[in-house]
Amino acid sequence: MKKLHHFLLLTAAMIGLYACDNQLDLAPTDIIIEAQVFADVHTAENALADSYYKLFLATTGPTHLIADASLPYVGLPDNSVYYNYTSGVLAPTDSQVESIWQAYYSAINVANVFIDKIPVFGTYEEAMENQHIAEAKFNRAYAYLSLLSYYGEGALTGNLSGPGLPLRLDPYEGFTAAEILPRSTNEAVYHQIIADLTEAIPDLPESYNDAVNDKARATKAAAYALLSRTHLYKRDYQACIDAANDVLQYAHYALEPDVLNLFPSNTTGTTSYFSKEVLFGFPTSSNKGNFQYGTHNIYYYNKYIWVDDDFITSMDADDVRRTALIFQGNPLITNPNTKFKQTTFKFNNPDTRDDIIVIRLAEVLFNKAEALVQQNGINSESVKILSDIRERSGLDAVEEADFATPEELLAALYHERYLESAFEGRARFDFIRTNRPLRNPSLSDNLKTFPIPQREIDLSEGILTQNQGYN
Amino acid sequence: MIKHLICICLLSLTGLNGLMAQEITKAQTVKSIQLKGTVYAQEDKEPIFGATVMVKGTSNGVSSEVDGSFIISVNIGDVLIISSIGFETFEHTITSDKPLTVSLENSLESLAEVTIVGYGVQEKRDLTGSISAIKGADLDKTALSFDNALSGKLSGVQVISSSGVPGGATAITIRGISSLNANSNNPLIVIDGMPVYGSDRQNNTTAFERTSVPFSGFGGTYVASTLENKSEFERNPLAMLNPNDIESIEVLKDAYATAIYGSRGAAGVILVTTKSGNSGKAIINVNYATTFSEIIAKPEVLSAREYSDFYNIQSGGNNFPLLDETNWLDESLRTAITNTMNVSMSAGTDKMKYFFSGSYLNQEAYIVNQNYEKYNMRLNMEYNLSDKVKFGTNFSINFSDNNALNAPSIYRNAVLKGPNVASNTDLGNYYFGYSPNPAGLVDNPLAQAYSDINYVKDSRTIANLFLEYKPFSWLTLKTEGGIDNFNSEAYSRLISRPDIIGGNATQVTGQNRKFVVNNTATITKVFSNIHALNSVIGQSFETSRELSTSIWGRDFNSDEVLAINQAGAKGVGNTRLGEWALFSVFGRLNYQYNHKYLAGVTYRIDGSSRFNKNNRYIGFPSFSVGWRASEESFLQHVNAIDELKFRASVGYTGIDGSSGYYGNQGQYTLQPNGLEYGGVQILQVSQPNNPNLKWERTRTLDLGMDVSLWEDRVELKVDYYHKKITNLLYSSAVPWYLGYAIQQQNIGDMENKGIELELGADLVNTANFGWSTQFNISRNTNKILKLNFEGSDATGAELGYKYFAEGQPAGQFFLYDWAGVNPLTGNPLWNYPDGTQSETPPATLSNPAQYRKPMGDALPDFYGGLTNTLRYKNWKLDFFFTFSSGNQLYNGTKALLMTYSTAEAHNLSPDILDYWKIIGHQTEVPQLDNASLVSSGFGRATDYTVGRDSDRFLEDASYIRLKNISLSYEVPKKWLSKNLINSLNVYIQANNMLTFTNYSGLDPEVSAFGSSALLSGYDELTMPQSKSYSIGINVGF
Repeated sequence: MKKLHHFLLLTAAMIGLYACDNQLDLAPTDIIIEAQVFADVHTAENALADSYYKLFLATTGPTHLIADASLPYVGLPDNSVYYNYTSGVLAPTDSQVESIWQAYYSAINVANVFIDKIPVFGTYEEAMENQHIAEAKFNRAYAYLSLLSYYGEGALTGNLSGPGLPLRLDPYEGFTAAEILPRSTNEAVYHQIIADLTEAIPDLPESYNDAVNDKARATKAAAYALLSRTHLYKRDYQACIDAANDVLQYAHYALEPDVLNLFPSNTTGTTSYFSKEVLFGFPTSSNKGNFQYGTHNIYYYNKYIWVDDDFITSMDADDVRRTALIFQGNPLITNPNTKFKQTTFKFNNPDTRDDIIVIRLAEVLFNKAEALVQQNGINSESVKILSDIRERSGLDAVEEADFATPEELLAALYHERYLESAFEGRARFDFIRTNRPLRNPSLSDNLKTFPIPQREIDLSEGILTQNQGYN
Repeated sequence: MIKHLICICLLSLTGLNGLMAQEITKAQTVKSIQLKGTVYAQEDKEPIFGATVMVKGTSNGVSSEVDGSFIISVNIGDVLIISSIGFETFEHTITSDKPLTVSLENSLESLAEVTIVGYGVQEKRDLTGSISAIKGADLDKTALSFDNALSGKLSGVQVISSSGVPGGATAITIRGISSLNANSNNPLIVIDGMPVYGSDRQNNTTAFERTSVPFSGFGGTYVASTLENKSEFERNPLAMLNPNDIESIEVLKDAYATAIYGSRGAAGVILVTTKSGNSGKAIINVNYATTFSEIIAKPEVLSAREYSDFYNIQSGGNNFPLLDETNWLDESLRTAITNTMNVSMSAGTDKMKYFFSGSYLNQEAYIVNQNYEKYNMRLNMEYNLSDKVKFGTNFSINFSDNNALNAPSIYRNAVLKGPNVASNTDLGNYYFGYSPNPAGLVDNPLAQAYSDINYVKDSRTIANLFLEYKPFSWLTLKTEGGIDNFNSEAYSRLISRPDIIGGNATQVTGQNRKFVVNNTATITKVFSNIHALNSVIGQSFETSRELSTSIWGRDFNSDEVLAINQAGAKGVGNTRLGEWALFSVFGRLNYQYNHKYLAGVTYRIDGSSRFNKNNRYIGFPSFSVGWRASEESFLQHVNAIDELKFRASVGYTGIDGSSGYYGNQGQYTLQPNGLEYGGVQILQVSQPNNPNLKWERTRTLDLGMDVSLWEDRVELKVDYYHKKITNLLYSSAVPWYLGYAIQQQNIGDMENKGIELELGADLVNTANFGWSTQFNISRNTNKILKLNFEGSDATGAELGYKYFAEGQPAGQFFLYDWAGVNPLTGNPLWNYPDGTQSETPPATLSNPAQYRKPMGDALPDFYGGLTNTLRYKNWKLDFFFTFSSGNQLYNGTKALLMTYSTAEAHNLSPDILDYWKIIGHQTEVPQLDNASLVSSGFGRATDYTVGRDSDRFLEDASYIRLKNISLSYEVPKKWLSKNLINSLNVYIQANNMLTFTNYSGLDPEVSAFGSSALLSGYDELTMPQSKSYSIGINVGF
């Protein structure tokens, strides 16, 4: 009997021991959790794809359209909401003011998660881990520069001490009062963008050995190109020239002689193609979406917005950008208001599935030319760049003698950049930073900066301040 | 023997021996005989000390001495009642003055005095927690499921059968809503000590394929805000159990009772104890009942003639000609017959006792060709290896086959389908379509009923094994292991028809499995005669695995082929696999001083796999005190008061299900549209990592009083409670610069305050006539104290258009204010918050939410039940009312039956015929083409008159219902052949015979969202309950 008791006690004790803490470490089998995502190179790449995709979502659609429609070269229907962004009546509760902010910060959070978690969970080759972090930093830098361009008070007009953005560099891990951030200065945001790019460059590859990914993912050259844009916006001209020269050392990027090779006809929208001129772009066509999912939502083809007639007639009759890159758009349109409008061939896919060019060499050259003039006045290198771009479009070359003052050369460069980069989603910022009027010439300088979304100010309990001119 | 020892310990050391003999001598009458006797335990022939010996119907009583002997004054013909804790009560009629020898049978849970609590038992008089209990015998014998039978029986426990579908879900709410997560308000169910799978919408819902009506083109009219008719069936996992096996049900309500279940206690705990065997002669019981049931009331719809006329007027032309006539409802409804048979045997010896039962039920739905069958078997067995060691098992196998899944859909279509559409083609096949009408439902409810296949077959094994070792009289060690293995297989099939050539099928298999191990040490010790400790410490480990797979097929070559691998097109639908585990350590220490002053403390630590690793363990303490004032000397001489106890408790409990399987770890899923970037699939966050999220925590304060008067003829139990839930998980705004717009945060606070009363009275109790009544009433007030950043949330589409706001009860209806029909124009009028009225529907204005207002919630202000039992000689009449007051119910059924503007061309309520026709016409129904039917261009229009976003169809659904009434006759023993039949009882019963309500729908007791209390309050052509008549017989051998 005694034996039996001992046996029973032992059994009970064993059952008790069985139930110990490590039984609570249950790994899910039907979903993948963060620690697993970043442990493995394959799933990390999947997650990195989302970082780029979020940047694509933030950059295309209204973000692109508003930047274009802020200038009169875009034709708008009478009742278009896009007038709001230059009319001076913009409310801090405007839906696009909110959604552009939200979309870029969503992309920033994905990048922040990457930068934070890969060092913690990554178990794959260190060089590849570093490359992934560098790509995330490139994306974060791009997102912050775009946000700063829209929301930083005086960020594009040299007011470096003006209020910039809440600079969020950590991943979301819950919300408490400690997470409420004030706005960093424009200078601090620029500094962060430059730091991200500078830190990323050593770890970024020159090539991905894949024609599409060479452009769709961050490379050393793309990072230098973005750096040159950043410095130009910040008005740090020498650094801009240096960064542009760093891009130009990569010989496999060159101006595309034929603009139709740069902006090819893409009726099917199923295969991505980027010309050698492109440094960075979004491969919309090959994203496996359809007419509904994965589109860029930039509606030039169906002429919800179009190319203004006056803009076309202001262009030289022989300008290839007029003869080849302006077309009728969707021939089936019956709406009498838009039927006879012309639109840009840069977006010629019927389902808005064009690949999006984000940075191309022409811009880098313009950055350099402009910075050189700002730095040294009239110079041959800037004039050469201007001529190269003009000749590519069938226009006459120019000479130093054509320009009496540096301002004249700058004006010519500005105008050429305007023609060259039209409908590519950046004209608003180029005009603001060069103190040229937007669509509504009487718009005050203060109101050229977007307001901070009212919701963010409310949620911050007053820590976040509004831009001047809004209340 | 064990029970015996406990008794001796408790009684001898608390000094009650002399006390009872002397004190229970109230209101004596003169008795002629001094009867001597001895009380023995039948099991071990040991004398029982402290047994109560009373003359029935009087307060004349003594208690037995240490040697079991007693002396009591009696008369010939008196009936003696001999009882003792742990033994079955024995009755004996005095025929002579000879010394009496009584041997009492052991009773494991002698419910008169002992109450089952979490991980143990406790004497009822020492309880300091709030527990409501009911014996199995007091549950409705004809109820399909024990939870349905609890409705109205216990205070603080609200049970709503969601519909009249056999095996359909039940919403059980104990003391109000505890979580704003729609599926986290279900109590924990514990059967014989083992937590089992209870109600849970996700685990119990079977979705199946039903095509919606194809619309032609873009035009047409749409209802502004409807509730989507989903093809799904939520079953009641408790319906599979055999209610006849239940000995007792204890509902733990306050923190002191529930905190021992820690992270799962906040919504209450229901403890079910099944019957056990008895030593001695085998007792065999056979019950058989037949029930005839029909729909509680038939929905009224237009006849074919009225339908045709109405739509012809409405559409302006003979577009709905009267060529055929089909009364879809009459052809779909029937008087359903349910047969149920239950056999049980209880027997044993000193060493071994067992209870064995088997039951079979075949329940027809009141929809043709839809039925539900279930089989149950149970073996409860206990074996005493020695005085100190025993082991046993509670083992049940259950199988159910529910062929009534389709019933809700058939019912819906039978109500809504145009009555001028033929049911069959000229060739005799089922006709699918809406000819001769220009539009309508394609489904044919009769084809659904007779040809489509829809079933879910569940099999469930709930079993546990235990081993008990008692090394010392004061210590009991117990280890038990249990399993709940719940497998289900569902198949639904639409036969081939013109719009779905080849038909389609969905097959879902599910396996839910739970293992539980409990180890406990129970210590019962008395010191210095007056200090007593009753405590338990223990440890529990539980692991669950839930798996389901859904596969589908289309384009079958033949309707006869069911296998999905034979389908022309096939694929895998949803699959789900989740695992979680819970490791717990718990303890309870009850102290009592002379049965007068009571105090207790419990503590449980739960470690859950659902928590993040770094804050995985969480503790749940509770404390209680009690004072039995009736034991004080100043009340001892008050004869009327048998018991007066005050008790108070406070403690913490939690809810574990509100954050899914893997806590708040970051979770990733592939981009749902299959998008890639640069040839790489996109993996996105579906839930961000949030290590800072805490689990919801409920603090409950309970103040209670138990009173027992006039020899327990009147018993009263009153409880006040205040339940405060903090750290409520709720989605609230986060700054966009953190990457998200809204995220779950521990932001909310909520409270439930309530008062409960249970009153039982033996009003008359004579030899020939008896009248006893049981009454309970509960009031609960819920209030959200803190919600989210905005303080309110009107986006609750998935919560059934419910509104949440600080300062108000959770789950408000948030609606536009319908002001009736303008008799001058026939257009609907709408009330605006500024006090004006307008014919413009507020929903068409910008920022329309500002025109809505909260309009009450679906949970009642108070509810309860009243049972009366009248006995005359061998006849017994029971009638049982339930009631509920102040609950709002959205009559979506009526909304559907007033919807004429859409392409479905529904059949309608006859009320529609009173539509506004002429200036001055006072009516509730607007003119057919009215100002709230608003064109939205391109030939489309929106109908704002019948959306679920206005209060036009929101009604008060307070009710009083005669839930059941039964008349039974106990055949006198002298008529029975002594050796064969011991007892014979026949009864007739009617359920849901009478309902008093102002609710204009068929049944105020329905819920379109099954077990979810938060989503309750919608009647969306939800199948009403049935009205039924039963006849039954119980035979004991």
